[in-house]
Amino acid sequence: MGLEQAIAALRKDEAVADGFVAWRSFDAREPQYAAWPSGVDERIVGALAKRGVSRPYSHQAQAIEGALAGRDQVIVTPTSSGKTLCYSVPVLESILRDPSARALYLFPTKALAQDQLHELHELVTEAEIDVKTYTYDGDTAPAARRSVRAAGHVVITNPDMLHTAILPNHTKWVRLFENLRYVVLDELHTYRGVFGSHVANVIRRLQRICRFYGSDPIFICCSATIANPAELARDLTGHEANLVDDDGSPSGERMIAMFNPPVINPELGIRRDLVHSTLDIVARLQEADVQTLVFARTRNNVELLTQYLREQRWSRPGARPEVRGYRSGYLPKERRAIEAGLRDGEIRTVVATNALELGIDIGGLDATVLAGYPETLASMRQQMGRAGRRGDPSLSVFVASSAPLDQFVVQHPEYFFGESVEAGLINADNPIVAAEHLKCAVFELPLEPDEHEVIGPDTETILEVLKEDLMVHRTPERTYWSSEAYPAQEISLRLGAEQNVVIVDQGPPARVIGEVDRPAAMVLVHDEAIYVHDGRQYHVDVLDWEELKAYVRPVDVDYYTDANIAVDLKVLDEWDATKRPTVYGHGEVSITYLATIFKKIKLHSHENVGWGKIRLPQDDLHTGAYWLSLPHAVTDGVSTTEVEGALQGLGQLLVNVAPLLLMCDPRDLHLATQVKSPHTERPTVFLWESVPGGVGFGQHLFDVTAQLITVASELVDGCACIEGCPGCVGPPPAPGLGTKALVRRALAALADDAAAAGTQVADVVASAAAS
Amino acid sequence: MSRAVTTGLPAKPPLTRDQLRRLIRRVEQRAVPPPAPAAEPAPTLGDLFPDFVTRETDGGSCVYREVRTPLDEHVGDRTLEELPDVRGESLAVLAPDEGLDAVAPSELLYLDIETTGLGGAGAMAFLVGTGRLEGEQFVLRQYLALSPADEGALLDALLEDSRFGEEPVLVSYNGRRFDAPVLDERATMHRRRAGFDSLRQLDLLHPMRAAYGGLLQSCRLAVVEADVLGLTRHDEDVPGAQVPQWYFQFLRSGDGRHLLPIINHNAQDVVSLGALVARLDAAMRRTKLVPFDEIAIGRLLAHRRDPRAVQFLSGALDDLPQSEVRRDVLTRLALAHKRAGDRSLAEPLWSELADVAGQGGLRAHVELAIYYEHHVRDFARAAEVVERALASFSATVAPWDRAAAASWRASLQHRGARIERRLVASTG
Repeated sequence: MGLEQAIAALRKDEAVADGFVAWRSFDAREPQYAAWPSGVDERIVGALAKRGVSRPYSHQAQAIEGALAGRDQVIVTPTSSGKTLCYSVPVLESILRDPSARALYLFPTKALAQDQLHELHELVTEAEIDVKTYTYDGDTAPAARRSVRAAGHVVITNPDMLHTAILPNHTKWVRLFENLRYVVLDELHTYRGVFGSHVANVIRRLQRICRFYGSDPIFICCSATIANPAELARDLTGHEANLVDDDGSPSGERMIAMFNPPVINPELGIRRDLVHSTLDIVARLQEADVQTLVFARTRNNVELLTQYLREQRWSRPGARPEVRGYRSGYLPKERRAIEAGLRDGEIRTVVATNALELGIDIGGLDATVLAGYPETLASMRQQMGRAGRRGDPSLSVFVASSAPLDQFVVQHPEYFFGESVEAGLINADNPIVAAEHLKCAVFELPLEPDEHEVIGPDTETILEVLKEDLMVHRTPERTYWSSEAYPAQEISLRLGAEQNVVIVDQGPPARVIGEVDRPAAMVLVHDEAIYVHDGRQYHVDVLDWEELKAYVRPVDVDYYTDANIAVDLKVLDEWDATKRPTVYGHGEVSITYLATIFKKIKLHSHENVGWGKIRLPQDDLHTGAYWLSLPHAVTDGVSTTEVEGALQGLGQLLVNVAPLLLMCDPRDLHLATQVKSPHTERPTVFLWESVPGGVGFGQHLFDVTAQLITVASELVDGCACIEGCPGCVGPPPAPGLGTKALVRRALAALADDAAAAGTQVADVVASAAAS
Repeated sequence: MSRAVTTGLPAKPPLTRDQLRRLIRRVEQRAVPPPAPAAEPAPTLGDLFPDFVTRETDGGSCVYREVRTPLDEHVGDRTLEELPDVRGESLAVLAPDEGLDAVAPSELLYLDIETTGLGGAGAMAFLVGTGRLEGEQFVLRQYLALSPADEGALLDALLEDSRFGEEPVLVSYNGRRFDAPVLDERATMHRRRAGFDSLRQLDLLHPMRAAYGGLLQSCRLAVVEADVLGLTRHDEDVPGAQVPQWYFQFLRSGDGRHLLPIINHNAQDVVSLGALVARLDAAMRRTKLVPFDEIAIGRLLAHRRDPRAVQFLSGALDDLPQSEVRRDVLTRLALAHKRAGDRSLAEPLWSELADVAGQGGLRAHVELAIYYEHHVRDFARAAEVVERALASFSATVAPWDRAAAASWRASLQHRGARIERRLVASTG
């Protein structure tokens, strides 16, 4: 049985057919080929031909030709459309033409760098050319580093390593920097928000070092689909790049379906739960031997689906094909084996979290099933894009949970089919991020006056502060680093430090079965938890929080556990506040995570069959936040339920708008609401930063409060939805609550308030500045 | 359902200078130190070191001085008078892979640098000291950058004087890993090519570790100067870790007193390198040999598998009382005898060592057992030694880890059983 029959069966099968609210098919596309651009070395062409690529797709030819002609490229085509070729060909070609030429590849993760190393090795070996490629990261042996620095034609690394190890030691990398022809930035879309702003500054530093050594590398960027790839590439590299988005790779017929689980209790409006609804569909695909990748949003759901799929009745002859789970927490070796099994078709069904989403090469699959909405349209498209081997038909199914966002998407299929995806935004000039990297830049090379503008608009001011803090020494000609500190070491490009809890099966023999990060450990491996790993159950005997180790033993029980985490926000320090009479403010807050209780949930029926207390210390995050309270004009004489709805709606709206003003990623900001905030004593919306310590978003939003209100009003006024949607105030928690109208009233009041207090704000700012 | 509002946003008003300042300040979270109180004018460098003169180069200017020391001047408890007698042969023992056998003492270029940090492009070399034997004088040259802007000129002057054409041999303390590559990288920062790291090098740190490691509190140059050369340091000395801070303070204040100890320290280190080379060479020639150096040279030679080790180690053993050091010398001497095929000479040493509790004693027992069993073929004595080892074993097992104990016991029992069989065979 094949995919076509499976689709037909799903559409006919009474048990599920009614749940499909939309079926949309997309025509197959023929491959568009082009000739190799003139001058590509025959050894490369020959090696590629042996690997099954006799001529390039049109987009590959376009990118290769452009790159060889010395123009920056940004390539935006779907997964498995052969993006790697777009940069490996010009890079290898330039090295063949001039063996002193060098290239630098940047990948967001070590795993992707390893993938690329193997691929490039194979191509180089096939072509029988002398091109040395190395990865350079935390795992590179100190003894090997010297040869990487001296002899590596292609150095494959990540932005973090470039930032902390390579740039600050550029004098050890003279060969690389003097001869750098190409910089490859793959997975461009991951460099957005605060992380992207950091990376943009790292690239500014890279370009500065290149200028010093007299090189001017061409940037080749590759991105998954986002709304503004060319803009993001420009913001990251400072160069205008040639956009290559006319995909020449073939694609088979694609079918996309939306599934809303059937209502099983009409009185209460309760739908069949997400796990079982997903199971209904995947089990049928499994029966039809359709290779399927299931994306679940939580690790628990990954394990439940894996386990249930293994237990499904199997009516076909022969043994049931393997079902595997895949998520962060599995050991790298295990993950590589699953990826390989997917590629060669051995493994027919994998249930994964978005850990599998990012660029990892698993080939194309017959079908993808999304159990729940993965937070953004871009992610939804990427996950669905995993389906479709060259030219073969494919199926993607979205299964909605009962969460408001999921329900909105499934009830408005046009939202997915029609709208463009999210944009990747960065603000390389964020003063705090820029200040951190300016320190690194001065450390790397004394700063010339004519560089100030190039590095960023606030350079002069930041330098003055650094001078007062005795970090730099300024002469009339230049600015020099004058501290023993090694600034790159103190600046992390990403969120917080990675601290993992190791999960040990006590055996005998004892062995490590996986790792989870700290926040997840509170939920997954607290004492008495049932930890499920690749469908097998383990009882957690002890979680040693000091040593970050969880000791488990295999068990066979009929329940799993699910823990609650209470997240609490407390204002620690108010840096500015104003009452107009509405309260706005910003300052430092502490976010505490406390695991309180866990529930024991019976397998299959998902009944609650018991609970227990979790005794773990709370985890704290100190960061920046902005807050604003609802005006009295909105709350007076309104029921608490309505106030709660309005507060949540306003918060949702602001958290949608704020990233646009801050040029950050939605994931950089979180929303918290307090109906009676202990700090403001009013119903209050808090927007807090993901980055520990924050990067000044609180102050920024405070400074532009009036603008924030204006843009939010425009957005909600221009939104055609009736009661709310993910794009404005969020899907309504319940119909008929009038949330959207209430939020609009709140915005009007806030706008009046801001206008009336305009002069007052100016006064506050002036007095603060004077103090 | 409009979602993306990426266009038409009014531009954010730029932060004022003061807003920006406060923002950055919050991140830095460092209190601004109060300005130093105006005191009487601080002495400048020129006040303290009138011999520093300005050196102009294409890259700007730095300051420089030359200090010519007669060889009969004391450095600790010796003078430099032995320096012209240093033989290439000794240098080759100190650094075997550098081709130093035919090097003359005047070809040695002593080097020590002071930097503002331990690594990365942001740490500059602000003071470089070199030393060279010129005729009857030891000539110290110091190059100093009075501002970070002067580092290029410092390197120019240094390179001009270093006479790379004559292929000098760099003598340093950890210069293989630090001074030489750092100078080359600093030259890169100033778009110059230096090439210190390509010179032949005599890095004294490694031979000093082989010779004195475990005999001294540590092998840092300061400790070597005090405990080997017999130098006493002045109170005003600045700990190495604080050197960058002192230099930065000088940069801000212009107060020469912040540089004074660093310059003296650097000068001392360069001269000490010369004194150390002279001392090690003399000791190898057994001139003015003191027992402490005798042990050290013996250890170094043993480390190099040089047969002369036996002479030094057995000489040192004569008056050496029972101690950790004696056991160390015994062990190394026994090994040297064994390597030379003189096991009979090693036997009394192993016997002495066998009386010591612990794994060292056990190892000596094993050596003796091997000696009796395979070389003397006296199986009865071999069996006796193994028995004694197993007996002493239970008395000394406590402090070791159990895995090691088990492996020792198993190996001894195995050996004992075999010797027993051979004993029976030979007697039966």
